[in-house]
Amino acid sequence: MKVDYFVTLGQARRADLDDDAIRKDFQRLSRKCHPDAGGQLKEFEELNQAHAILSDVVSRLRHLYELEFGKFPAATGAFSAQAMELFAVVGEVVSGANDYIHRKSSATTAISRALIAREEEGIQRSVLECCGEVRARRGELLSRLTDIDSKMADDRDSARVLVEESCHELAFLAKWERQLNECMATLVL
Amino acid sequence: MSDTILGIDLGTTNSIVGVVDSGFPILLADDQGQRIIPSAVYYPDGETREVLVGHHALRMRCLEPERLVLSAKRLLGQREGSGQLSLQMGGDTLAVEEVSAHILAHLKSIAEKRLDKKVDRAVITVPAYFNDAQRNATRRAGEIAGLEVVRILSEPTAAALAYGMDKLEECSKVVVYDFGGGTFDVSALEMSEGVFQVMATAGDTLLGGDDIDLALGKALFSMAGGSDLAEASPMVRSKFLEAARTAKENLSDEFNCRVSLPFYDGQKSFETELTRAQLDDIALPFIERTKGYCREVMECAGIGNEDIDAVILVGGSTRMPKVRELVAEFFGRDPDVSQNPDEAVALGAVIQAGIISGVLQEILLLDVTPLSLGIETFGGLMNVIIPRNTTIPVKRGEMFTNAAPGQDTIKVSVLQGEREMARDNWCLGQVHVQCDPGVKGSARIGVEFSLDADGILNVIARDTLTGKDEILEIRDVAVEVDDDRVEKMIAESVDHAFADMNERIWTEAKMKSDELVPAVEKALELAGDLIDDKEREDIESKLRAVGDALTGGSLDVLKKANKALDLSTEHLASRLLEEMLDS
Repeated sequence: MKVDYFVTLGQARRADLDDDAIRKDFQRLSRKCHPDAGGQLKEFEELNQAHAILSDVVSRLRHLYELEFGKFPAATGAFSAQAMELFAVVGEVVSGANDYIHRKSSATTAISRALIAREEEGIQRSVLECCGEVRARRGELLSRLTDIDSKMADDRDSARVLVEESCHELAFLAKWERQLNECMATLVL
Repeated sequence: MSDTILGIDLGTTNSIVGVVDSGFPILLADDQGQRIIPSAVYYPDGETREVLVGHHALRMRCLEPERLVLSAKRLLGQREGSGQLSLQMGGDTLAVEEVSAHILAHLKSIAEKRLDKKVDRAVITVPAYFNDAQRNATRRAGEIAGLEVVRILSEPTAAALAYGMDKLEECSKVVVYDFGGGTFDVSALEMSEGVFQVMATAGDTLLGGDDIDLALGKALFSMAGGSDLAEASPMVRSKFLEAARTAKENLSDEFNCRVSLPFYDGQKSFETELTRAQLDDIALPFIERTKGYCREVMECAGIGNEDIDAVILVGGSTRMPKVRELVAEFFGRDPDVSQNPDEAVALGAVIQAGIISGVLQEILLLDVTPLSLGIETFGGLMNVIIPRNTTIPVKRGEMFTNAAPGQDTIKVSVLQGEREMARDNWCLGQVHVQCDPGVKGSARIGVEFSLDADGILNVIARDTLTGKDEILEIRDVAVEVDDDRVEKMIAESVDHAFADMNERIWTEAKMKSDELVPAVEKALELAGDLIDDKEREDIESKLRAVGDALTGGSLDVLKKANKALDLSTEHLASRLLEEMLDS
C-alpha cells in the first residue's frame, strides 16, 4: 500500500499547489514530529519525503499520477512542438557556450585572450535569452495545472494525458535550466 | 550523567563554550575572564612539560613556532595519500583530531569550573560545508576529549539561531554570511514561528582570513627584500604572518598603520606604512570569491534580494570594511551587524544544546546537507541519491543487483560533491554489499543511505529475500593496495619519465604555436588601422619564424619564436580589447 504524501503533508490532492503553503505546513508539522521536538524519526523521515516530493512540481505530478492512475509510464520521446523547438535552441546555445568556455580557458596568450573576449558578451546574452525562453515555457505549463485539477473529476482520460505530458516536459525544462545556469555560472567566474 | 549540554564553537582561530542557564544562553569565561579562547595548542619539548592551550599557547608563537599548532581545523578530515593526514611534532606523529581534542578538553574544564559540576555532552559547530569525513573527525575529537557529541551543528545556522532567538513571532528570510579564519559559508534560512529552516547553503572549507594573512605576509616579505616567504625559517614566517594579521585588524579601524618587524631574523629589520587601499587590493581576490557562493545559494533557494529581510554577518573577517562593502553591494542592503561576529555561532550552539536537552521548547531547527550524496556508476559517473540542500535527517533507498554471475560482493563507492565524474568528487569510502552468488541480476539488495541530523552518513543493506538488515561499514578506499605493487608502479613510471618528458615539452611548445598562429592571423585580419605597416610587417615576420621553427624541430628555437610572436602582439591585443570596450 503506497504512501499518500498529500495526506502526510495535509494537502489537497491537486496538481496545483501553493509553494509557500506547502513549506509552511511542513514547518508546522515538523514542530510536532521532529525527533528534537520529541517525535519519532520514522515519522519525520516520511514527512520530510512528503515535503521533498510535493514541493517539486515534477515529482508531485508523478506522485499524483501514481495515486490516481497507476504506474507512471516512461518517456516515449513524443514531444510537443514547442518542446522540440526549444530543445534545438537549448542544445545549440549550451554547446556554443561550452565551446566558448573551453576555448577561453585554453587561451594562454594575450592575443588569443583578446580575440576571445570579444565574443563573451554575445555568448552571455544568448544564454540569458535562452534561459528566459525555458522559464517562459515552464510558466505556461504551470498555469495549466489548474486545468488538470478541474478535468480530474469528469474527464479523467484528458487529465491523465495532461499529467503525463506536463510531467515529462517539465522534467526536461528543469534539466535545461540547470545546464544553462551552469554555463552562466562558469561564464561570470 | 549530567543533563547539561554544552554549546561549543570550535573555530579555526578562536573557540568558545557556553550553556543555557535559567533559560538564557550564556558564554563561559576562563580563569582570566576571557570567553574567547584562541584555537592554539603548544606541545613543549620534553616529557614532563604540559601541553598548553589558548592564550598561554599563543604566547609561544614567536618563541617556538614549530611547537605550536594553529588553525588545526583546516586539516581535520583531510587525507594524505591513502591514510589520514597527521602532523609531525618533533619526533612524534600527531593526529589532527588529538589537537582539536586538546582544545575541546580545555573548554570542557572551563565549563566544569564555572558550573561547578561535571559535564560530558556537547553540541559542536562545524562549517556548513564540512563533508562527512570532516564531521566524523570533529565528533572523534570530542570523544577523545571525553565529550559525547549529541549534535554537529552548522555554523551559519547557529548564527541564525542567535539572531532569531528574540524575534520568534516574526516570519522572515535571512542570509547568513560567515567569513571566518579558515572557512567561508553562506546560508539562506526562513524563520517562521520558531521554526528555523535552512533553504540552501554553499561555501568553501579552505577560504578564510588566514589566506588574506598569508597573501599580505608574502607581500610584506617581498617589500622587505625577501623572495619567497614559504622558504623562510619558521620563526621569520611566524613573525611576518603575525604582523600581517595585526595590520589587517588595525586597518579595519584606521586608514593606515605602521608595520614594524625589528630584527626579524636576528639581523635584518623592516618597517613600512601600510594603507587600507593596499590591503584591499591584496584581499580583493579572496573576497570576490565569496560572491559566487552567494549567487549559488540565492539560486538554489529560489529567492532574490527583494525576498531577504536581513543579511547577517558572522566571523572575524567580516570586520573588514571591504567585506562589508561587497556584501552591501551584492545584496543591495546594509548588512545586519547586531550579532557579535565572534560570539554569535557559540550562542547558537548553546541554544541548540538547550533545544536538545529540552530546556528551550519553542524553537526547532531544520538543517540541510550541503553536498550531494551519491555513488559511482558505470563510466566513472556519479549517480546522485540525496541531492544537496535536502533537509536532514533523510533517508533514500536504492536497489542493487549483481553485475556478474558468481559475484558475492557488490562494491559501491560512496561520494559527496556536485561534479559529474566520480573522480572529481570526495570519496567517503566503499561499502561492501553481500549477496548470494547467482545468475547475473538475480540478487535483490535494498541499500538505504541515511543522513542523520549531524549530516553524517549511515548505510544499511536489506536483503529483500531474507529480510535481514545489516549496517554497512564505510571502508577507506585505498586500504587494499598492495605495497609491492605500488612500488613497482612508481619505479616503472620513473623509467618512462625521462623519455616521456622530452616528448611532452615539445608537444607543449607545439600546442602553444597551434594556439598562437591562428589567433595572430585572425587578429591581423581584424586589425585594420589599429596597427601601422611597420608593426604589421614585424608581426608577420615573427609568424614566419614560428612556422620555420616547427619544421626545424629544435625545441629551443621554437620556444623562443613563440615567445617573440607573443610579445610582438601584446600591443595589438590590448588595442583590440580597448576597441571592444569602447563600442
